[in-house]
Formats: sequence, C-alpha cells, structure tokens
Amino acid sequence: MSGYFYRIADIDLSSGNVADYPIDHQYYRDYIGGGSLAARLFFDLVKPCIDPLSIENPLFIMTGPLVGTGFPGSSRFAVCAKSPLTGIWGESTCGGAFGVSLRKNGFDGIIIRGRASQPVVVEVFDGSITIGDATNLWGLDTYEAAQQLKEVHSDRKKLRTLTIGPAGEHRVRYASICHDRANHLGRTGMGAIMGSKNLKAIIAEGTVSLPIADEEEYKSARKTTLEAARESIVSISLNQAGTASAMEIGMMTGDIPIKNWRVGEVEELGDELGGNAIVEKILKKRKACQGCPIACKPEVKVENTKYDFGTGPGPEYETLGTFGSMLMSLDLDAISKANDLCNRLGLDSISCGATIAFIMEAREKGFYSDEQLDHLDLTWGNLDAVIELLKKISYREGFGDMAAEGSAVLAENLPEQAREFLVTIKGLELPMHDPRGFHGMGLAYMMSNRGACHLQHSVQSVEQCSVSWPEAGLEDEYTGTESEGKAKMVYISEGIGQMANAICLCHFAQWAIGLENTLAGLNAVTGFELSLEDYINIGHRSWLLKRSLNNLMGVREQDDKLPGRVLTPLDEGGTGGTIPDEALLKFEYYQIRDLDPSGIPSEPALLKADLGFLIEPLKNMNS
Amino acid sequence: MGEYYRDADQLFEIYGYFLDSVLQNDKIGPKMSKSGIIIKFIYTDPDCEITIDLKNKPEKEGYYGTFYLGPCHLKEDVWSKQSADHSHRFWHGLENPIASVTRGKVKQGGKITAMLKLLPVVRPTFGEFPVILKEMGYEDLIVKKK
Ligand code: SF4
Repeated sequence: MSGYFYRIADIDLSSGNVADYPIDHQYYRDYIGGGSLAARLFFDLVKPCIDPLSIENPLFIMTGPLVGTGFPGSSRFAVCAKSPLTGIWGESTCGGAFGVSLRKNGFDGIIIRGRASQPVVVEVFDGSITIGDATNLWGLDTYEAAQQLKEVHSDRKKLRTLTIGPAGEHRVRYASICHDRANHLGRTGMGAIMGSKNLKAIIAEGTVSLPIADEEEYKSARKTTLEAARESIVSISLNQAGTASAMEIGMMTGDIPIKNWRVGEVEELGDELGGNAIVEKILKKRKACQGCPIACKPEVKVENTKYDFGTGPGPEYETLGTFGSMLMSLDLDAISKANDLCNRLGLDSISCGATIAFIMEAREKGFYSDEQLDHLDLTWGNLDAVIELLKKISYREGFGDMAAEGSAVLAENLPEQAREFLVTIKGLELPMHDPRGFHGMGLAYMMSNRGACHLQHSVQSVEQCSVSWPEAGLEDEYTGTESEGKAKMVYISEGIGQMANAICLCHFAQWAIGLENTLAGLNAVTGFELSLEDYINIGHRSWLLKRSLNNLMGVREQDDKLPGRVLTPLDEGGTGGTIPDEALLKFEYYQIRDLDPSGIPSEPALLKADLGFLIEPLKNMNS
Repeated sequence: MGEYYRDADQLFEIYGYFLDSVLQNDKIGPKMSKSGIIIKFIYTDPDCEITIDLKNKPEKEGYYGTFYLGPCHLKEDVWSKQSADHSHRFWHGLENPIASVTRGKVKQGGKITAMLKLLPVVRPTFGEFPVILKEMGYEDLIVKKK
C-alpha cells in the first residue's frame, strides 16, 4: 500500500502538545481521505451531542492520496467538524495549494483539539509542527493576516496560509477560512470553529517527496489525464468563461434563483452577470489551483468606482447568484466588492448572501422595522446597504449579531409565516441551483449530509448532462424536470461525488477527465487495484457513515425535505410551472438507499458497507 | 438525408422565414444584436450553411441583424456544426444544449464566450419556431414533445 504517509498530526491547543495520532492503516483503504476519513476519525473521537463551538469539537484537516502528485485537479483538501451553523456534520473543501504543502511535510492530515488561551498560529514546516503566538494578528482581516505571515516568513517562498477574519473571530456561524486570498472554505462555518479555538491561522511549507506505488503507471495515467483535461469541452468552457458561464446557461434552463427564489426570470441576468460580462468588464486573468491545467479562477480588477478594491479574486457563479440575482442586483462592480469583503472578513458568500435575501424579504413583508435593521435600507438591489451589513455581521454589531446566526435562526425568531420564505435544508442555505428545473438536484439537496449542497455528489454534472458516465450505471441523458427514476441517478452520483471529496479531487476536473482516468490515477498512486464498482462503493460507505453521524446528532426522516419556496411553481422562466415530486423522489430513494422509515440506515445496508460498528450506537441512541 | 428536410432549399426556405421573423422581432432582435457576433451554422444532411451577422450594421431597414443563406464572405467569431435534424429539434426546445455539446452532437469552434452571449436570447424563440412552421404550411414538421 502506498500513496500515504500514515501520519496524522494530533495537536492539542489547550495543552500545547503535538503528537502523531495512532491511525489504523486499514482506514486509508476503507475511507481514502478527505471528508470521508475525517468522518471516521470523528466517529472515533467525538461525542455527537457536543456543542460545536466547545473545546470538545476537533477540527480535522484532511488531504487525499493524489494531493501534491500533480494529478490534474487534485490539490484540494477538506476541513471538517460538527457545524456551528447546522449542528450536524460539517465539511468544507477548497483548492489552491495548502493541501499540497501539508502533504509535503509528510502529513496526510491534522487534527486540532482544545482551545488556546490566546490567539495562536499553527506552523507546519519541514516535517514538524509548532504553535506560535498570533496575538498581533487577531483583529486583522484574512488578507492582512496572510500578508503579515508571509512577511514574517519571507524566506519561505512557497508558504501557504489559512487565515480567519473578524467573522471567524466573532464566531459568525457561517464564517469561512481563507486560503491565500483566492480559495475559501466557505460552507458550514469552519471559520467559526477556528475562532472558537483562538486559532487565527495555519501555515505550511514543505519539500518531502510523495509516496507513489507505481511510478510508471502513474506517469502514464497522468499524461493521459492531462490530455483529456485539455481537450474536454468542460475545461475549455471553464477556462474561457469561468464558472460564471453557468449564468448564461442557467438563463436557458432556469437554474438560477432570483429574488429569494420567487422570480423565474430577469432578462438581463446573463448579459450583466454572465461569463461574458466578467471577461469583458473586469477580468484580468485566469488563475489555477496548483497543477490544474483548467485554470478557471477569475482574477479581476475593479477601480474608479465607489466599489474600487483594485485587483483580486473575482466572484464565482455562486456569489454572482447570492449577491446578484438573489438580491436583485445587476451591478457587477458592487457584487465584486461584496465578494471581496466576504473574502476579507471571512464569510461564506452563499450562506451570507442567502441570509441577506431572507432579511430583505422579511423586511419587505413587514417582519423587521427600519429600527430593528439599524436603519440600513435593505431593499432589493441596494448593495450599498448590504456592504454595510457585511461588516456588522462580521463584528456582530447591532442587527449583525442576529444575522450572524444564519437565516434559519432568524426565521425561528420571527412569526411562523416567515418560514414560508426560509430556504434552507437541515439549517444550510441552498446553493444557487434551482431544484424546480432539476428535480434530481432537489433530492440530492434533501439527502446531502452537510445540509443543502451541490458538491456532496455529482448530480449537477450528471443531470445537466455535462458528463456521460454509463459505465457507472447512469443513463446517457436526463430531463431536468422529471422526478421519476431520479433516485437511482442521485444514489450513484452520491457514490461518485463522495469519492471525489475523499480523494480531494476538484469536481470540475472530474467532469473533465472522467471516472476511468480518475480511477487509473488513484490505483497507480495507492496500489489499491480498485474496480469502478469498488470505487463507487467506498463513496457509498462514506455517505452512510456521514448519514449515521447525522442520525446520532438527531437527523431523522422529517429533516429530509425541501423548503416550501422551491415547491411553489414559478409562472415564468426555464422552470416555469414545474416542481419536484418530493414524495416520489424520497420514496424511491429510501428504497434504494435502504433507509428505515425514520431515516436511519438499515442493518443490512450498514453490514454491506462494512460499517457494522455503527449498528449498536444507532440502536442505542434512543434508549 | 435526414428526417425533416428534403434538401438545402427547403431548409433555407424555413430558416429564412424564421430568421426574417426573429431578426425583426422588437423583443428578441435587440437582444440578439446586443451579442455583437458573427455566427456560422454548418448543417449536415442536407449539407449547407447559414451565417448570422449581429456585428455589422444590418443590411435591411427594420432588421436587427443580417443573415446569409449559403456560403458567405464574412469571418465568423464562432461556428456551430450539427445535423439539420438536431438543429430542427433544438429550435423546438427539445434538445439539451449542454448535452448536445458534451455528447458531440454539436461541434463548435471559436470563442465559447461568444456563443454564451446568445444562450439567454435563444429560449424565447423556441415558442416561435413551431408557429412559423404552421404559418408556412409545414405542420407535418412540427415535432411533438414525447
Ligand atoms: S478546475 Fe478550477 S477550481 Fe478546479 S482545480 Fe482547476 S482551477 Fe481549481
């Protein structure tokens, strides 16, 4: 077995101790890495009922076997913990190069426990770990903190940084972690966990060679994969037009949510916020995560307007949705500024923008007075007020303190009718893909283990036909607005997507290179000799493990449901007149996934996935 | 020959009528013109091509662009090649545009960003195409959704 160092660092910030965690080597074969391996370690180490912001909630930073090998799209890493936003399994992934630097220190991952008595930075250099003082960094935004760290360690040319901003320090429940400016661990509030540990930053630089089982096999697999990645229409589109091209496509298909999911069409959206608009108005260049030939990330320049922030990472599709179409703004400069602020303050731009959309609708419907909103004019399209609110949220000032809890908590504190326009599943705000246009995505949102998510599975690419993977048992084409038969598609896509996250492979890259190339690379590096069936089954094991953790944290059948807003058909636009058949989707899915009526995996399902150790805890949870 | 078109003349007759209508339509035309591109559609079965110029000043009064049936001197910004049958179903709104490209049913070249400009404009025309077929007495060519 190769592909791993078999080393997970175990850092206790309370005592200052750093040790090697004695990991069972079989876990690597069974869970591969990333969020999947983190979930297994979480089960071993954490009591499910803990408060997410307490010292009992460790932070798991995990890589995968391909990370750092130069395999296209494989520079990602995962950060996991119990989520302070949802109270269930929390997982966030990110590209860039931090995962590579961690691996080049000879670690497959790190576990960070406890809480430091004062702000600290974890330093991972030359194969060893130290805990340094970060008192002088506390209060800085993510970019400033990263810059200071780079200046202090100016001799380390390949220093990689993870930093939190004021939002993480103030434990905003959807605080993000920023990696080297352009990459963000946004979802499920992992920045707040760092804040709760007084952990301002983690930095790494290393030079260790990576273990590869079969060098010749690997070279050949990498060469074929690079060619596939360069030729793929997915890569070409992402490189030329970025993720924002989903705006233009979404205008045709109805994928884009507008005005807190209640409008079907705004004709100018594609023109004003699409891939083309970014290229023509603000794009400076495309950047790439380490070793990725696709290079989809936009570096933009906004100057000579009141939203001036110079040059920096530009908004991706999701942020164009949450701060653009959802808030009824077509101002690319203002959206870019809001994106820049989210990056610097350390906020998840999906949950944050969606929470503000909820607030705008609540205000419009009279649930909030101007006074309650600190006299911010939070009317549709007013991004100036939104920009002010971002600061208040990050420092928990005035109304920002409430907004920092996320839209689900806001709705709980309003009259019952406000739930009608709350758009969350299991406490997580929906990403910017409308399940009315893609019913399978609706089911995938319902069953996603970190709450509504488009990246815990491969449904987006499969259902929208960006990929064709009949070898995995999928149909060649799907019609978005059909519900029947979609459960099987979602089930298989969960297995595939969970594996991308376990390997720490970018989903876009997997769309471009396909399953066969991914598998060839994984087998060459690890020597596992997995078949495609084995590969997808490990993904299913990962899904079932996370589901069981969620069951232990209280998730039941009644939590697997779509919000009422997306079960209300729109009159116009690409999704006009259609909604997912929630009952049918769920019925078919429960059968395929073998969940009992209360939403808990059956014993045979657990035994088949070699997860027999979960049977007793799940049985005992109600006793 | 494909399922719907006898020959290139029939295709030109139908697409000519359709483009006449779309490029004079005050709702759709300005949006098409805003894209500012020259796009060449290359068809197979029957083999022929149509170029739409949304970049230069329209040749005819009241139009938002100019189209050319058959070979044309203009250099396109983007080209799209597909069977005439596929195109026929596409204009009915019956082909998934992403699947068409990723499954190789439609090949395209030039700037993808240029092609993207047209996407938001296209959907409203799907309703027009069957109406035009009916007007022209080609009801038998209207494709029903299964
Ligand atoms: S496709 Fe984009 S996000 Fe994915 S690895 Fe490449 S550059 Fe990073």
